[in-house]
Amino acid sequence: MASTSLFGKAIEYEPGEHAANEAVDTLQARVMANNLAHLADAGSQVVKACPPFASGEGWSHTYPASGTLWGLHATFGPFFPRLRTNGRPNAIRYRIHCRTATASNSVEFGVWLHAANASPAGFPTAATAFAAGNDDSVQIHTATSTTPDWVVPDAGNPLLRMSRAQVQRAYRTFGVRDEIGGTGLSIFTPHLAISVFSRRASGSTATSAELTGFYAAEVYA
Amino acid sequence: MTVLVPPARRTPSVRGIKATQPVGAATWGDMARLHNWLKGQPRALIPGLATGPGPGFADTDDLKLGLRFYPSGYHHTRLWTVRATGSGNTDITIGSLSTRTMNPPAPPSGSGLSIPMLEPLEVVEELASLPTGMTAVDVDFRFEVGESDSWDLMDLSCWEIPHPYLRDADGQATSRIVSGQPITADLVSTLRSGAADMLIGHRMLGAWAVPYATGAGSTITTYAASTTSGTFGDLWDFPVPALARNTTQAPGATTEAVFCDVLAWVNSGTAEVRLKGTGGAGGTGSATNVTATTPTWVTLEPLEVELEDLSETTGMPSNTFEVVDLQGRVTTATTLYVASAILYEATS
Repeated sequence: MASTSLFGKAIEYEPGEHAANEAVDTLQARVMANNLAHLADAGSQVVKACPPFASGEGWSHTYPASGTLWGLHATFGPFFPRLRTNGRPNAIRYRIHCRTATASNSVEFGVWLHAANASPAGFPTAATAFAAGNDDSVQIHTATSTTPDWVVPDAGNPLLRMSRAQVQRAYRTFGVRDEIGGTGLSIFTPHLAISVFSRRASGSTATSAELTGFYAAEVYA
Repeated sequence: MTVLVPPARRTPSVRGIKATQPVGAATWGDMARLHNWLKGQPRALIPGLATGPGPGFADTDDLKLGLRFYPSGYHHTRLWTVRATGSGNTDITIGSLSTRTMNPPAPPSGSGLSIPMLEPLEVVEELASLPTGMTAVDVDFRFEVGESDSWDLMDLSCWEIPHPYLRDADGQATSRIVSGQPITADLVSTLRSGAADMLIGHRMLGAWAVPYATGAGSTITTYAASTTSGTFGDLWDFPVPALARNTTQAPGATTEAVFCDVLAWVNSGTAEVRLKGTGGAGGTGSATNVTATTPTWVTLEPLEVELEDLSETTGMPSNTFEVVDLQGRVTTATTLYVASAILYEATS
């Protein structure tokens, strides 16, 4: 999505160029509005960024010789998403670092953006429910290499997205104070997490897949 | 007295700002509310580091991770979350906060609906005072694994909790922005300085840590990344993606300097550490000397990385991830050790 700021980037100005009692001129006002909108667009945060592990040091999931059910490798977060003006959270730019243990068994990795308090059992395990594009809160990637590496996505660089209905189920209450040592308050804000699953995509031997790294960051998209 | 942070983002209309015409109070009010919203937003201080199952912490291991982050200076409540797997009990102590006992679930196994839940440990930290400016905060994360028990760190995060109020000094009050009245510079002084403050929404780009000391404080080298080579080599198994916010005001700039602090030491003499990018800007940072013989935080020379491009759906200007590696070599030392690293945007 295009930036919401007028110039698509920050513009330098001198906040102190006006004396205290001078009216703020329209040029500075326009630049200020631009910069604030740009800071809001660009202020998305990195959720998970840690160097991946070597082969054998990641999170594994073992498969029996038959069956294609999904298995959980790891859950990352929770984190506080930034909300857009329409109430949806920013999208998630992500990448998975993984491998299959057996060259003849390709593996599908599923990445799921969900409410922090969701049960992994809520993961859509049926293949039809988990087809790419069916729900942007899940994306799948196929891994065929036995050497851990960042997986090239099946198509482009997909983003994880949540609908407004989905994020409404992710709201939680947190206790804060209005100021240090001040009055206790409650805030009601969404809290999300990301889980990575995998399942056998081809092959028929008992084997395993390994998640060796994961990267996720919000993006205004 | 505090300034309210609106719950939803506002979008001031620049169409209402015209040369020779006064800027309406409604537009100023929307700008003030957007400014306050920005400062009240959550920030990741530690973006999800993990040690993974590899080290296999178990059976009375009592160890410390060295953590560092740069708080915003606006938030006085943080949420630490620890997601782990293992067996038995592990005591967690974050900085000076009280010790919590974690009883982590076993690593996930099984498929479909039998997948177990991985509940995180949550620890709320209320600050006694706000930090001044964006200055480094160093925290030890201590974990003591019970006898015959085990513990693997899957995700350790620290976030500034979104806040409903800002201090008067940080927020732009809207009560004196009144229709029909002149908007003088001093009336919107916080707003004017805030709109020029590119540290709002500052991004911590990555974090890595392995134990550097025992719980009692004795330095250990068992888990640290190390090298004895005189040639620069990668200290991590794999590099980590990094994409900086586009806050540069230089015309045509496509890269921005990112910084890295490392917890490093040598046995004696001198070693060097640097950052190296691959893909994107693909630069190599200048080397920084490490001479301390005990674990000490060192700020490395910056590395230019690609800037986020919000005209692209993914934010990636070339639609490929630029990755950053940490490299080291010894010069007069015999061994270089690095146990923690954080990657972040400029803090001033």
